[in-house]
Amino acid sequence: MSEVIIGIDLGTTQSAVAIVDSGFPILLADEQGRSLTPSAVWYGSNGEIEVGHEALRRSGVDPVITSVKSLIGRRADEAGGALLPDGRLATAAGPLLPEEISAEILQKLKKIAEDRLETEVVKAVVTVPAYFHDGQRAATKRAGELAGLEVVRILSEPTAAALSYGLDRLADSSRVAVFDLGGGTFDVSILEMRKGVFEVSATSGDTRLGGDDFDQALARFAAEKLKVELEEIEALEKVVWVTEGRRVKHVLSEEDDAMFRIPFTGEVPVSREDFLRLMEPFLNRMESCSRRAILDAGMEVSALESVVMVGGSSRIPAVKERVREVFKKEPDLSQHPDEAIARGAAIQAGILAGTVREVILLDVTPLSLGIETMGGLMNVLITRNTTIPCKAGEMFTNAVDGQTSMKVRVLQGERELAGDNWELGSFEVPFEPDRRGQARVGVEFRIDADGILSVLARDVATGKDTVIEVGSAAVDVTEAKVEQMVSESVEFAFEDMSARVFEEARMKADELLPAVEMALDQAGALLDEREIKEIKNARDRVEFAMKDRDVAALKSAVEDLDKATESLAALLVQKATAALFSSPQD
Amino acid sequence: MNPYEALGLAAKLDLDLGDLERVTREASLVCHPDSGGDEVAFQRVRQAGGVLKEPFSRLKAALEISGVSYEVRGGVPGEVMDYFSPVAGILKKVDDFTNERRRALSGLGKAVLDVRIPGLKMELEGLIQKLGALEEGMIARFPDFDACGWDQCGEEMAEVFRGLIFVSKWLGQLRESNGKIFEALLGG
Repeated sequence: MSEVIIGIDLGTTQSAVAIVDSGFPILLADEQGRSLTPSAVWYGSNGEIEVGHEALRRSGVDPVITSVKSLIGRRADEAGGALLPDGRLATAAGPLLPEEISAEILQKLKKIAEDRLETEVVKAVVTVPAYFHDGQRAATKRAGELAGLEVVRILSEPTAAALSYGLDRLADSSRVAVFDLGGGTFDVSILEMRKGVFEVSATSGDTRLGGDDFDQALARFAAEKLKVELEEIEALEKVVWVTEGRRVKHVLSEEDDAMFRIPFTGEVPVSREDFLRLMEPFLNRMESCSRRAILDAGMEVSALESVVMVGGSSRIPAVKERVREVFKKEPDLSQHPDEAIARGAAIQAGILAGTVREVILLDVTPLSLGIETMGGLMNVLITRNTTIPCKAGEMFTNAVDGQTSMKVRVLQGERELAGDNWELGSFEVPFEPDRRGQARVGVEFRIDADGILSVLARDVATGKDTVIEVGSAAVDVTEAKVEQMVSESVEFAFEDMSARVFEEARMKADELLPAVEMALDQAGALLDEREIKEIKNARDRVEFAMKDRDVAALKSAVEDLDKATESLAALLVQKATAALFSSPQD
Repeated sequence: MNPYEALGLAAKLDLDLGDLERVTREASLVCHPDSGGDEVAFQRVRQAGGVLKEPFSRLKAALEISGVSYEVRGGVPGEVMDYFSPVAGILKKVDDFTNERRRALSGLGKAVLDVRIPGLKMELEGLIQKLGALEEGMIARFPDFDACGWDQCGEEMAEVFRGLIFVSKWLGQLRESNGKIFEALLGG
């Protein structure tokens, strides 16, 4: 018998584990028969840990950690205050790394699989969003190791869904798009499937866009109507609002109206149209990513046979409608939105274990990989959407006599300025002491099938190879130094707070005032009288506060003007983008 | 590396892309580490497939295989040079747009910049179309080069190659520029 490898969908809100049994991928259920496990972890103050349904039962009473996937592999400065300066998360069990928390979920899934299969399981394929960068992939792999699992492959989620979709269509040749909208992340991939070869042509996405955002948007909407400052209420109570947001979201997928209720506070009716308005910016982002992927794949939407929708949030009617619009076809809903990814992970596990034959997956790296040049630009070595595994080389030489090393910053992203991209880390290229320009070291960058980077340096003169550790940029700053930085910046902020607030508000006002005139000129006719009056009112207040140099008044007037012009801005963008996305061949 | 040999294909410039794709796919299937292949062989196959897919890199490979000595920086067809400033112009316009949009502080400030999008798009697409036609015209000479023999027609091949480098680079930049507009919208 071949070894057992399980497939795991480690989701933002829920997770699942699957295996291939006699050629078919099946989900494994816990002893209560539930095949989806909430990605929730509760820590007690005495070292108790509960995971999944058991953890969720504590919510509202105790802090329960959910959506930890949105933090995995991120640095504190990217986490919007959710992480401590050292990248850990404060829990009842002390500060923990996000991957340590994810490991609890993986361990639970491992246990479910072992109970079902009645055998020990040590190997797994774990899925991640296609758009995860190197750091997020590596952290997910570490989470697996902490859970006692050898992660034999990190697999992209939309690719997994494509495997699940394509398994019973192996004889076909087709091009498909997979649209995967989960609890916290969004991916869109374009694939060519030909006689068992699944080849990803392009992938795009946003690792901070998913169902959680819609819950929060609904909570904010209701809070505003009830005149509650959502940012100021206690964390435990905020959970109640967001959970209610989620319930309302689910109702609105079935019905036209729903009631948002918070006990002892009030209720707010929410219609599908309200929800659609809240969704608009998110839908636009999904559309932009989709267009980008289609463009990168170098094809027209008409060349796509189908667009497969997966992920829990693909149930939302407005999302389906947008997909229909962008891809110009009925979305394919044949895959179970919550289960397809786990099934696909199981199929890849089967490929690696040798139980699934005649199928091979050619995935791509979602982000370009490069290094920083002298001028602070990004020099791309491996472009995005290159089939993995792949490698690229770069030659380095010493700039001065006797130089023994050179620091190289490694970046991932698509922006030209090095600083605008995600910094993977940096390393030192070692040189043998020599005259300027004489030392020559070739550095090989290799992205493996997991989408994870390794670096090898080869001294051309000596032929010596060195495996290079790419140091995480996070460890560059010690904890004490971070604290010092934080406190310094706070002091600094107090010193010239009012001057800075005024300056910021003034800059925004300088931008908004002429923009209001121009926008009213171009699209004012499409607004109703009340909206126009509101905009002009706010504009007058901004102008007045500018003359008066009144900091508080200017700040609030600018905020009001920003808000009052939201729908005007949306109208303009709509006009502009309608032209952007219509082309004669469509 | 001779990409034709790596894929077991007959050395022709006038290549059927469907054939190339099929051969690359079949070789990838055999070489992929997941089906018991070897990573180095796999990368070789992918690289060869990539070189032959693009007309300019295929032509470059042909020049190298035939051993003709040619100037990389020699003369370029005049019809290609005519596009130098229009391409640079629109690329700058798109860069200005995306930079300004990134710096914009308010939703409305971004929106009034977005009004430029239709014009930018029209200009980009117009150029992409014209350069595409130019590229087609140069590729149409490939069968002649095959018939004449690569070592005999080296000079002409080299001139077409120098033209193709520019056209391919520009087309790539223009498409990327098109994508940058999306990215700017995404960033908002």
